[in-house]
Amino acid sequence: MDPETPILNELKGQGDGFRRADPTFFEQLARAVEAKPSQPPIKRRLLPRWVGAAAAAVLLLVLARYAINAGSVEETYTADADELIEALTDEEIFAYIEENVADFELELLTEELELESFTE
Amino acid sequence: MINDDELLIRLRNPATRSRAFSQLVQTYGPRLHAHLLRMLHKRADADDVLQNAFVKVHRGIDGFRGDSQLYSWMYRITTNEALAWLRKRKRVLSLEAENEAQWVDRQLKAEPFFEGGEIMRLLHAAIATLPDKQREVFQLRYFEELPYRKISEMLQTSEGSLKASYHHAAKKIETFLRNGS
Repeated sequence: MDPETPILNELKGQGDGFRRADPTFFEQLARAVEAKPSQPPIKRRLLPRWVGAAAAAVLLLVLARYAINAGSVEETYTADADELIEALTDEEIFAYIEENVADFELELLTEELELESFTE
Repeated sequence: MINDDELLIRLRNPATRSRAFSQLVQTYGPRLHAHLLRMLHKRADADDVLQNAFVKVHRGIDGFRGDSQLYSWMYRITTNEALAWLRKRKRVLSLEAENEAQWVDRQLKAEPFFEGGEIMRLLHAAIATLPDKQREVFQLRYFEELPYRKISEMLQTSEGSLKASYHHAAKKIETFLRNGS
């Protein structure tokens, strides 16, 4: 018991306030997990393909603008869209998406997910 | 109840894998779920993160080398998943101008799985204000009552550093509880 923390001392032993999940929840969880192993990682499945395309387009615009600005000062360089996209690795695209997914329009995301589930 | 070594042998044998995995989830799932509830404060989030964590455990069990105990390894996977989840949540909160403590307080008032009183709610809100490492150390020591030696193995940190972290965390929480925010 630390005399500097009397409130914590008093609360100790009272648990954490949360109920405990029913044992059947864990039985179902084990079955659900076993049904999944052949699927790709969950994190990536949450991101539909169009999000990757949108992220690449945004990156392209940023890079193109940078190229134009740089060209106006010294020399003109026209960025090729395919080259810029080719230069990006999957990891870079997914990292960008994860960082910025909150900025994508929720309505568009919902529409896309509905469309995907409808077509599957 | 079988020990971890035996469980691992069964998990790596295709013939016994399914039953062994069910045993693994039922043995360690409740403890990890409780840990996630304390980190995330929302039953639905704890359920989702635990499932993601066990998917990774299931996929990674063949690569588990046994350098640490089985629970320590699963705890690390689960905590990493929870921290990633929290980072996303913090990004949303920063857009809504609500801090983590306020969110936790509001969430626990509405969470049917939480049965603690006002002071317990305040305790969770206080813990949410701590840096990640201090929060982990505090939860393991205060709620799970693990010895520093065990926490040291789980977090790969020296016992001296853990004691200092716990002491700092406890003082911050006590101040928070005394001031009510």
